[in-house]
Amino acid sequence: MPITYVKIGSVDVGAGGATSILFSSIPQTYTDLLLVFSLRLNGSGNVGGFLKLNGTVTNPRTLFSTGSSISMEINNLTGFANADTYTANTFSSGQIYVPNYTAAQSKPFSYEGATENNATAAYMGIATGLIANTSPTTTLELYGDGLRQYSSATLYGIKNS
Amino acid sequence: MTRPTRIEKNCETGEEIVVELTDAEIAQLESDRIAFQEAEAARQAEADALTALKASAKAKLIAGQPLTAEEADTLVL
Repeated sequence: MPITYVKIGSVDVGAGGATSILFSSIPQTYTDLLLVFSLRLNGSGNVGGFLKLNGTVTNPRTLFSTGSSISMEINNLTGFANADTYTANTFSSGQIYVPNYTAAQSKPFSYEGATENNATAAYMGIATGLIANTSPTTTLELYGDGLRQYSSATLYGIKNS
Repeated sequence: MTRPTRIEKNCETGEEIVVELTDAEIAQLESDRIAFQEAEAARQAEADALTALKASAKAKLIAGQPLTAEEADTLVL
């Protein structure tokens, strides 16, 4: 990572799994935030991943593609995670960027990522959205249909100088 | 039955704790999961219908048969 990226926190999901990963008490000393993650869910068919900022559920405009189609949707989906039916020991990869996270205004964000599966069922997506929360960002929560062991997320703070 | 849990990482102190979800959080999680599944089912149905239309258009072109307007729309010109 460039030297302007500072690791704020990192979580690795242990043997018991978890429903979500929450980063709290985020320092207000950076310009932007970058959340990088690798996920595998407990659910057999659900690959949806979701983001909450300061407890607010996001509703992004998502453009994503599968093995056979491309579509645009507006729903509560933020990104994709590997379902438990996917090839063993594989995880999705993705990142979410939140610029100007301390501003007293609604927060734009962007997502890009992909699942990994040795089959036709695989997703990659680009999403962008506006989170209707005008408070400075102090928490970010990443969740899905149960996060399996070895799922991980790392939060970076980025300065503009 | 154990309740779902959340891993909380305090970015100031570095402390990491495991917290049980509240009833409201569990309900939100279920709501999100169902909403995604419904949207995904609708998207898949639309994709399957488009695939079928394209296949029909191709077969008709090969057989020299007229296409419907819907089938013709699947062609990239």
